[in-house]
Amino acid sequence: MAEIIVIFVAAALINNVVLIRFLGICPYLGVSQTISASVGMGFAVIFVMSISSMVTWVLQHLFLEPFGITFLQTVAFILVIATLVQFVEMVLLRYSRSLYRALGVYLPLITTNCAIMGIALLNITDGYTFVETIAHALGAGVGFLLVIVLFAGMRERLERADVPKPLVGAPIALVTAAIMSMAFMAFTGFDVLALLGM
Amino acid sequence: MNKVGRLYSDFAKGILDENPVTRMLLGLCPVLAVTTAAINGLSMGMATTFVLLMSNLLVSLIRNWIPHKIRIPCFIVIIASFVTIVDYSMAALVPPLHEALGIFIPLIVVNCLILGRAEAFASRNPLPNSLADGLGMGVGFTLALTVLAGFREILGAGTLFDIPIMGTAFEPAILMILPPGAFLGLGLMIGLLNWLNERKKHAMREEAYYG
Amino acid sequence: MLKRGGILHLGLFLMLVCLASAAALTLTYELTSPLIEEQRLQARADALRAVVPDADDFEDITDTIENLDDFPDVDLVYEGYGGGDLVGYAILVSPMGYEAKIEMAVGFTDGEIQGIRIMNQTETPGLGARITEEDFREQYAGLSADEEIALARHNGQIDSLAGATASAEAVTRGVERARRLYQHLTDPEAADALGEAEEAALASLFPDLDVENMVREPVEDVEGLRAIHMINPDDPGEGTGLTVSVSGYAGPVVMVVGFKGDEIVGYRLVDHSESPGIGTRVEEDEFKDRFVGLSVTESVALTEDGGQIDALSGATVTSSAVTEGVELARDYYSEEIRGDG
Repeated sequence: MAEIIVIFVAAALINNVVLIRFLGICPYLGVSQTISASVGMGFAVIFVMSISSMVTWVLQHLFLEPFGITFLQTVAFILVIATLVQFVEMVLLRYSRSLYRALGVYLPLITTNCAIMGIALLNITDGYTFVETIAHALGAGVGFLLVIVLFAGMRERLERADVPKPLVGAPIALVTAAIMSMAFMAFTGFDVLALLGM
Repeated sequence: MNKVGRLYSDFAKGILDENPVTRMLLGLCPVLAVTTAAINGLSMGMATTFVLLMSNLLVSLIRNWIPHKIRIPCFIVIIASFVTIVDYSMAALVPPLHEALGIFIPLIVVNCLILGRAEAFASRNPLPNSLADGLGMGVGFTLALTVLAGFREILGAGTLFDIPIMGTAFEPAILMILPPGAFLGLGLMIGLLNWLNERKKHAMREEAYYG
Repeated sequence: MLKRGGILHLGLFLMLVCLASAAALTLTYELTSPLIEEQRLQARADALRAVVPDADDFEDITDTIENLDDFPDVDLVYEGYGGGDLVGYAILVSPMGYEAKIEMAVGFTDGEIQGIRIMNQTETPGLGARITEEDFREQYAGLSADEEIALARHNGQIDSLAGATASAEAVTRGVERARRLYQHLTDPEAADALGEAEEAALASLFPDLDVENMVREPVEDVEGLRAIHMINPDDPGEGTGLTVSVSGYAGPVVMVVGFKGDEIVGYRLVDHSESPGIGTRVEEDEFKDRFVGLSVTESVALTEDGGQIDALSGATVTSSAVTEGVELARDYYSEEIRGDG
């Protein structure tokens, strides 16, 4: 159990998917203008990331590896993720209108969100078991939600700040992200269990 | 505009005016992640350019046969195939670079730049123009990556392409090759380009005004 | 049915694209995989030659080492031959670094470390990645294989890297583990790799005994128990040490637990991979003293499991491993050696 917690917390904070691993930068910069949009995107990512990690893990270990066709990994993973996103969109549209309204617009953007594909690949290269994969994906998703919401909060304030003209927009957002990344680097080297007082 | 002029403008727009990184903010994950050393930036740029060029080529060739409804899945399969080819070729020919770029090679597949060019340009334009567009965008992407990586390597390690250039008294600012340096470097780079652009526009306006 | 835009048409088209892709990728794989394998072997051969330069031929002897499990992190062992003579050994180890495992080769000739080569590492650029720099690596060259290799902060020979202690520590641990194996290979007298470290641990536990005269008996059939050391096999109460191995936070923790009469004398760690500054706090007296003087007839456990030992906050896993090791030794000493049963 301790190991699962370590993987979860490490994925969320120490190796934060956006600020340390540089995955999912596009939505991080693109969908962080308002807090409400960032919350929607964050939950959509947690949702899709968990499901796609499980599916790709099963695909890798029950199909690609036994048949010795791991060279099809990239093609297979991206197709599965794209199909999955479509499927999730359809299911939401049909069964949960309110959830669809909350997450729906972000779903198509997620297919090319490299965080989803990146975490799916990392689950395999880091040799996680199925349960560890779930913890890793959930942790990474929660880490994404955390930083995108914090970032959106800062950007809402930046809107009203007097920023030097050439830096308005993306540049000042990136500089802000640099400072956030610096803050998150403080987590490196932490013993997770000690952090949680275990 | 004549044909050759059109070809040239399709190529040239990707380098500065519509630079995928500094203008369109596309494919930023590898831009930030692999630019710890100039050689990594350059090789990532070249790998991406290859995939971009090949996918533009193929998409443009079969653009009239692809059914509209399933064009995106088709593009994705095409892109993923070329990415895998690059991945395995790099592992076979240049293992240290393959190691350094890590999972960002397979992640070229989700680089929105490539899918974006396939959808917005190659599927609507003839072959020569699509190739010019892919090459221009690729060169623009490579240029941005190499410049950013060079800047980070010089400040963060005191070297450029592994050659020491800052003298022995220079104490590297390690922060620049750590994750925060990536965000900071890219932010400042885009800011600088914006500033230069503003100045150019301003000069042009003054010229127009005063004749 | 095959009309343009129909579901069958779409499906067939997509399938065609996928088939073409699979065919192209199979071809790519067939073409590149021999090259990739060759590159891997070439990289390994280069590393071997770099660490044992006098050798022109290497023979993989990994499978001939029976107790390889006693040497954590060791992957492959090679004998290096120069002109038909055995000139040295190259040992491939992969200690856990700060980010991931560091794959490295350590070469030995004539009782000395010839050199080390980092083959694969993903430590932080500019910090941990400096383990590949010559200034750091050459510190190991020429060190005697008879002495333990450690960082200067642990009274050893190796200067750490500023801001990257964890990476320097990992490399040093890798070299030390390779060294123990080398010693085991070249000096059959020291048949057990842990011999020296165990002796030092026993000397520290029993300052009044002549530990060099202790009788050492390896144990193979009890899980976790490695060896028994007794000053007087007829009377275990005069001083007995048990070497046990338990799993800690980062890997196996090997320790010697000492007993005298019906009391626990204490424990000393012999080998471990715990995090510096956190797990390693079990090596400090504050924690060690919690076991001294406990009766051998009573179980030892952490308070959270209803026992008498307070765990170190922040290092529960290591505390629990050490406690488990003491309990394992105590149980064996009490039940099997003294026959309290």
